[in-house]
Amino acid sequence: MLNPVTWMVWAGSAGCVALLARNPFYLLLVAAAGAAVRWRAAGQPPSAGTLRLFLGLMAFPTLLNFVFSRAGQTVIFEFPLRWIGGPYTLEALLFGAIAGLQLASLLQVMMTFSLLLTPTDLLRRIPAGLTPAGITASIAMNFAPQARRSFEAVRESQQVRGHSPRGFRDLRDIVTPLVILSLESAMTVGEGLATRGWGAEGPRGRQRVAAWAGAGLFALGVVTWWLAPSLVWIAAGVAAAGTALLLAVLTRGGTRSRYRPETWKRADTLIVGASLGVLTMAVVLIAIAPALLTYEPYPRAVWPSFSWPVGLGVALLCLPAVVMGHD
Amino acid sequence: MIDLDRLTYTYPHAARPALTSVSLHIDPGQTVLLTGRSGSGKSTLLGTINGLVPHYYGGRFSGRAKIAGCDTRTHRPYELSGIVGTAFQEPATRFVTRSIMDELAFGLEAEGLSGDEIGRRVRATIERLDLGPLVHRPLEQLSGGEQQRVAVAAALVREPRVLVLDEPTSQLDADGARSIFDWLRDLWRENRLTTLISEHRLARMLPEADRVAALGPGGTLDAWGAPGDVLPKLAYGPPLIQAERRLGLPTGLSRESRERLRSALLIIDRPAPGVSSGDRRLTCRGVSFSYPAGFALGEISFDVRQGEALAVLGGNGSGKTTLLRCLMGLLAHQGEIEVDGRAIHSLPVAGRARAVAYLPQSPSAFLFAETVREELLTTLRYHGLPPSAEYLPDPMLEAFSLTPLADRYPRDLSAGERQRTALAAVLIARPGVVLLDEPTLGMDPLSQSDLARRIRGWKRAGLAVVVATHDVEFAAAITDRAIVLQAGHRVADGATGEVLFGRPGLQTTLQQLTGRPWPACVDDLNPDVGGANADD
Repeated sequence: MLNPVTWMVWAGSAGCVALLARNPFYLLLVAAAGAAVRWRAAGQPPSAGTLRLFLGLMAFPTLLNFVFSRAGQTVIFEFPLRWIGGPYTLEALLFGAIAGLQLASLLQVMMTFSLLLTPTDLLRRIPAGLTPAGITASIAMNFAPQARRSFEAVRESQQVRGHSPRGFRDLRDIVTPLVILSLESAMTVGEGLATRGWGAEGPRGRQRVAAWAGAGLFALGVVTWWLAPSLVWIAAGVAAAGTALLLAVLTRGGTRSRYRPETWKRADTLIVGASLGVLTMAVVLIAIAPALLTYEPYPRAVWPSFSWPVGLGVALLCLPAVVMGHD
Repeated sequence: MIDLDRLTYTYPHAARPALTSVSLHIDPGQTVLLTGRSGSGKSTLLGTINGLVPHYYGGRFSGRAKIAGCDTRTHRPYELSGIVGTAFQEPATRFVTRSIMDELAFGLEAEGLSGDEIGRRVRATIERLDLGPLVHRPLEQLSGGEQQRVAVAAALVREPRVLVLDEPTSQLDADGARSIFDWLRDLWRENRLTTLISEHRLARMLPEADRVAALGPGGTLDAWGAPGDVLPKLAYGPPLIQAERRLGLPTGLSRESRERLRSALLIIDRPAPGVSSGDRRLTCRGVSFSYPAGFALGEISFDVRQGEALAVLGGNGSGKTTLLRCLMGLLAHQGEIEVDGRAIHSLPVAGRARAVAYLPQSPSAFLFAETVREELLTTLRYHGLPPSAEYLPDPMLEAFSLTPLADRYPRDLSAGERQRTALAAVLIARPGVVLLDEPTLGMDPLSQSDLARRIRGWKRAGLAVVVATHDVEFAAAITDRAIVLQAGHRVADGATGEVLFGRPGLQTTLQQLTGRPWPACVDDLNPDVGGANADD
């Protein structure tokens, strides 16, 4: 059993790489790492339903960009019609497909994360003053299993009334109930947390002033970085000071304890080290050599490049699948 | 311990108050049974005790509620959580973790207790409520009753001074309910725990209650006092009071009253049992089913004829719901199920729904239309049936007393009203078989009587009815035969009264009083009950 902090660092790093990299090879590596870790943890290979979900996720932006984007030089076909005549380009198709792959790899990482962590692991780490954030986190972590149960219940209740939803036309019959049930679920989870003692008053008096000062410093750091990228280190320092001040205020007076103390093993150190290494590599590459990490199909598509050192670096995200169970 | 002073509360956007000028004083250690019809404000009143009203829901709040000296206007729910432990209806939707250990430890961690102390309390709670065999299963895989036990355990593990329980045993079988009440009784004796319980099954709770609070329409406090003083004033009551009324005896809960009733019951002659001679509508032969996680049902066989009602009884997790889902054709089972001579799996989805009406435990996954009337039209649309003389929604609304609610949003209705809406929505296609899974769950006693009257009407109209239930009083009132499931196997089959009497955990109140299988329920004392509206 690895430490929850390990999984947070792993998921944070993998998620950041999925967001920063637009190279299909590295995105595939992130998705494969997520799938391998999930497979190892659950003891089951990815189901056909999951694969269909990912293909659907990829197909949607691919088609959308292919139909609506007119950029790119490699024309696949064109019709002599206004508005819908095209040109339909290979570059638009590739750009959309990479956006879809990015979404799918991010989702794979989040699915693995929600399997490995419980809402309690997250709630325990949220400062006492951030009750709404805790409720939101708990709802977000419970969303997938809750949505699955709701979907099954709704589908069954429709069968009982003689209806088998098929295709897009019946989508509303499924989506409306799921939205209603999700909102109701959010309300009831909040009730459960409040009556079980989870929550705290926000900061008051001087602490409130300190909290606002911390938030202001953080915002100042971000704005400085945006307006004057050359002052990046000063901006980072200001933002870090603001974050530290905010956390100090929000965690003050918290009385929560731990039932089962969490352990830290060598495998945790290995995975956290590797994950932070991959994250650092991605951030540095985006800052100094973005072409190594990204792929731009416009204006004319070429074969995406692949760097073995970068590929091996991203592949380190698979490490949990190797060391899990040997910890 | 609890002081409510002219408490009035209106939910946001509501036209009328949910509670109106409620004043109550509850001493430390008292146990109060909260009763009233669905929608009378019982859950809202419980919400004022733990602070959810008004802090969580908003709305207009006037008057004052003080819990152990804490004014709920200035103390938020998390501040009151150390004093007030709460277990809700439908606990599965309020679990905040995924395992029993984490769920029990959650509130203790929030309180900041040491790891050792948390471990001690968690282990003691698990042992006391016999949760050991469940500990390694994820919460979402537990049955409804098992989840309810965990919810009550989570409320009690913090050793609160006030306990608020919203129908804590509604999903539990008799043994499960007994283990909860045994534990509560110990807590009441040892710790002077003040308790407010909303419970529709009055008989379960009455021996423990010091006071009864009855809420009326609009959330007014209609009656307050000792059970013996309050219950005779109510339009409904536990089986003993109902039986006394039916026989024209003075009502009361004293030992003398019980003895008087017992003597009166023992001299009544039992009528000859009726035999259903209708055609077979539902046939079940050697039905077996296993989930991926394991065995669920084995070799179940029975018939249900026209005009006959069958009770499916058994403890939590015994396979009752699985059997009903097989009968509806929702699960790929082994064995044969036929409805009016046709195999259920040979029918298309729409055909099954027109042959069999199935109402699951919680109808909340049913109701998503904008209005009650629209729910009925939705079923017709699913079946491709235009509203016609045969399938008009208005007579169906009338038959289920839903006409005044026809334009209301179904999810805003009370539990009983929602269930009537769901029933009307599945019955509008005029099926010949009706399957009901725990139909009295969350239903007040008057709504239960209303449902029983409707079921008798369906039987007279030639429908076959199957009811899976823990509620032995309800089973005795409306069913002719019963089967008992245990771990997926049929362990008893016969006339309902005889089956209930033959199993000590299932005996009805009247059977326990007389030591005889008949009369099993109040309606046995007057078989023509409900006749006035029997054609629903």
